[in-house]
Amino acid sequence: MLKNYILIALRNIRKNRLYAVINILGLAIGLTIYLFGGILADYERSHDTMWANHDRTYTLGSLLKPEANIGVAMLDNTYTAMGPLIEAEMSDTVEAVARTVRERFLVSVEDKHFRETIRFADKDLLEIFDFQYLEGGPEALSDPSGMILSRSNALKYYGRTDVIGETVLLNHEHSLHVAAVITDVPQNSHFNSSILFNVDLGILAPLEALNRFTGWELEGNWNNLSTGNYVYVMTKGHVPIVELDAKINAVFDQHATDELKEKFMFGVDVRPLKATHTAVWDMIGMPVIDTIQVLGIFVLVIAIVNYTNLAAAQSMGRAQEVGMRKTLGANRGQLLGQFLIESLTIVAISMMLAIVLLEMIVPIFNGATEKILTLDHAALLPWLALTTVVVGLTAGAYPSYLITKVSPIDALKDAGASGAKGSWFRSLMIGFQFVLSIFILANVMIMYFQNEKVKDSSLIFPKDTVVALQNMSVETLRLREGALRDELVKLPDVERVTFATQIPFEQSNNRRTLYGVKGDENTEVEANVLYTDPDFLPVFNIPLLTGRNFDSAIVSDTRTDEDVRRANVVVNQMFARSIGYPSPVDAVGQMFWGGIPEEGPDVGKDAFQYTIIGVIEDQNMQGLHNEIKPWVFMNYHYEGLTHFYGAVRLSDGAGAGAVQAIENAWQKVNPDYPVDQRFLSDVFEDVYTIYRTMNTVFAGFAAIAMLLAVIGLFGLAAFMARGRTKEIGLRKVLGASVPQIIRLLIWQFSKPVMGAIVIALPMAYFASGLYLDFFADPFSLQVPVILSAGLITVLVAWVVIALHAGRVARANPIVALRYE
Amino acid sequence: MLKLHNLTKIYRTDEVETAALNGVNIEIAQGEFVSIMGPSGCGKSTLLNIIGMLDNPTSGDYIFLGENVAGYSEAKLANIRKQNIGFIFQSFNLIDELTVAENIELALLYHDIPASERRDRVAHVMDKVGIAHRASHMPSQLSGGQQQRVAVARAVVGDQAMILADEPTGNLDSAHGQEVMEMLQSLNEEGTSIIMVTHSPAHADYARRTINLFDGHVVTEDLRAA
Repeated sequence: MLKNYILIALRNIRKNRLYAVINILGLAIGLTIYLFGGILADYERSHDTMWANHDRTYTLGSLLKPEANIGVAMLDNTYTAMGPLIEAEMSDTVEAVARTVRERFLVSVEDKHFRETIRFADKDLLEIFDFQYLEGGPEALSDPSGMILSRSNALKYYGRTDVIGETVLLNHEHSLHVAAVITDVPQNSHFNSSILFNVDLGILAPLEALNRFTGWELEGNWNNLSTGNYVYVMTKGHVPIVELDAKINAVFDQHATDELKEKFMFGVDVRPLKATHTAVWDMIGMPVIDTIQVLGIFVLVIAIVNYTNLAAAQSMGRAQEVGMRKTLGANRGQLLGQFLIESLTIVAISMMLAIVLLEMIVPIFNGATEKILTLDHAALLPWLALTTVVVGLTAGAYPSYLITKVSPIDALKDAGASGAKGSWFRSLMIGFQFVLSIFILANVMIMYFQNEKVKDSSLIFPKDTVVALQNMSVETLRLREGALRDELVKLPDVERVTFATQIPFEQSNNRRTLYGVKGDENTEVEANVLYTDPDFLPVFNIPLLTGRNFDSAIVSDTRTDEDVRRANVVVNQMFARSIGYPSPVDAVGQMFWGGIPEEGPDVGKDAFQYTIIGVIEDQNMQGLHNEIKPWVFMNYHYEGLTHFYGAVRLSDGAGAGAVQAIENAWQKVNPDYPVDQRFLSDVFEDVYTIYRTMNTVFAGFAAIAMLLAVIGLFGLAAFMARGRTKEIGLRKVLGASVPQIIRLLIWQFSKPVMGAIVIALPMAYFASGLYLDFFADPFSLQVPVILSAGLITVLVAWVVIALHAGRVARANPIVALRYE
Repeated sequence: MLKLHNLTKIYRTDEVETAALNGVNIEIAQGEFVSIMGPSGCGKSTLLNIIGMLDNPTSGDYIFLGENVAGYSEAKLANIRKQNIGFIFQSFNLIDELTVAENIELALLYHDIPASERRDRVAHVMDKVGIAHRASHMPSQLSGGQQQRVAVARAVVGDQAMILADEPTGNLDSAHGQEVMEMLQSLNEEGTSIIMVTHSPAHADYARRTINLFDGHVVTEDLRAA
């Protein structure tokens, strides 16, 4: 019996090749996308399972108050002070706590120099993570000047891995020696996360070393939050995450200051290690992985609907077979079984094709993204089998129901005529497909235009003629800033040079609470503060609205003495407004204040006094999704205040040799540090790449969804037109023209597509609104773009149907009439 | 074997009520060969469908092997049908995607018969109707006469006691028609009851009894001398 069913299924496929190809290809594409989305989501969500203790290891994040206003609602890390507190107060629950703090250093191995990110860690990190040791062992971090190298780094520095005891020099002044070598951590660990902000795990060193090098306090602090630095907590045995969360938050509540809790951070986010890698998406508040999965399901659903529609239309042509089987005594259950086995057969073939496609896509994807997705067929088998069955049954349900409900006499009598008639169900299905297609298309278009807008808004800064010098936060380099500037401005292509704690598109926030009236909390403003020099504004083309820029000739414009508690500043218009001067002109010459010191080394001193000398336009310094914030610029130079960046403004027609010339000038001044230079446009791309990737991925989904819907429509239109051959023949005999007939056929399909628009557009409006909400400066033409997505869909549908209708309509009516 | 008592079939649409059968009384004994004749629209096919349990009467009784089956559910009818009745249609109704042997086997698929026995019986019946050499051909590769022979084989492979033939020769030329009629006759001689709708008086003559229908009534019953 089963053999008979499968046989019939296979022969039907052979007989109706066009429909079979459309069905199988459509389902295969749908399945591929769905499976790939699933595999990708699973990969992203199950990082770090290679660690023995992963299921009792957690990382701590920070839940931020809206007032924090740093563009995200949470961070994947928290204050380092939390580590020792948890260790001390939760010893009954917690087995180990470790923190990592990343710091950039120039690593010198004999005369080779490498700029590296070192992870300084508590020694218990090695208790939590069972690294594979090639040399040495987990006692390595107990040595206050020991360090652990990854295999790659050992090979890079020494060309071999038996390097225990070798020493390296950091920033030409500190030394560490190799205490262990570990195998490289696989890509699917948060240490090497392929998502932004991370650097491969190359060097681990004890926090004691950082303490010696920079004075970093071992008990941690409540000042710095930096993405990628973690506090790890490993529990004793299994502890429910809710319980752990409550206990850790109790520790936080007890120790965090009221001010912190009120203004910035209201709690700690306890996150399983497995999910640490995806924290970045939660930080920026975009459910990217969920979206990919949902889109995958959408595409699969569209493919299933295609199958259902085509199979339903086509199955009517098999009424005779069903009638005969019923006459011979087949009951409904047996026939349902037959048609379901048929759809299962088709889905099984599609599934095999999908697996082949996946085998092709995954390596390409891995190559392009540095991810290491794997296709573990044995592990995937239950899922693949289940998917096949569910899709097979879902896709086959309606056609089976439809064909088997007919009485045998009717079935034998009409032999296929009724399949041609439109049914409300089919219209509903087409409508449904187009709802999904239009929805996806409209959202993708909105995303595209929004992301383009982000890109366009970055053009206010001369991205392509500014070269950023990075990794300059070394005192030695600060002292040579003047010499470097002198060398650089000698170059014919260089116009100006500036040094600053931050450059445009850089995502840090150096925040300060400032007061319009000294000591008056009602006049409080949170502002971002940037330390730089008089060249900053001209280098980045930032226009002054009123007042003046810093002037080196005016002594009070430059602050060099830490004990002088006043400074001249340039502010942006937003800051001037929030401190009480709606018109920028009124702000110039006015003063504002820092807080009155209540603790720390400055206790007893007066509030810091600022005088506004110039007001600049409101520009979005951080760009991208960020809101424009109040900014204060200071011309500030003293020992210990290193600038993180230099920025070299090239003349507009600067030649290709400029980059090399900058490097040469750098080498002349700083022979002991390699230059780290990039165009500002690349700094922008660092973050923008996330949008670009999303654009590409989602556009791909939209294209596939649309393609499937159109293929389905084409197949169905072909089938319907064939079923209406006689009617069309009659109409032609009675004098209908070709365009009239094309119109007739188009209209048959236009109704569900129109209906789909009515439903999909409001949905798209709502969903794209959620995306736009994420941006401080949302794309304003949301409605026209969504409407045009609907229009595009209708036009595509019309063209597809018209292609077919045209051919049918032009056929000789005699042929059409004889056909029946 | 079967008895129809005061059988009525009325087709209703929104506006029109058409009586296809109007108080039909017929009795057919085991082993009989009956032909049903009458002009188009007289209710022949409706009668045959009801006898074949593909349709239910609107009112009246249908006693089949001592059981009144009028008003039985589709599933129940299907069960009685598959045990007892074979069908032959004017348009053959072979399934295009199955070979000759598979088409015949289809009639056994819905019975609990092991595969080996099914093969034997299909082989046997193919020999009987002279189509064995075409066993693995597709219906579209056969002539009309050959196709109808396959249909006959399918109708009898399950050892059905009764065959209902709806104009079995309608789509055949006279030579092939003759062939099919002879085949039916020999089946009848082996004891199979046959009820046949036909337009051809010559073919009706193969039957021992001819029932003439007109506007849903039995008009005459002619008995042919044995």
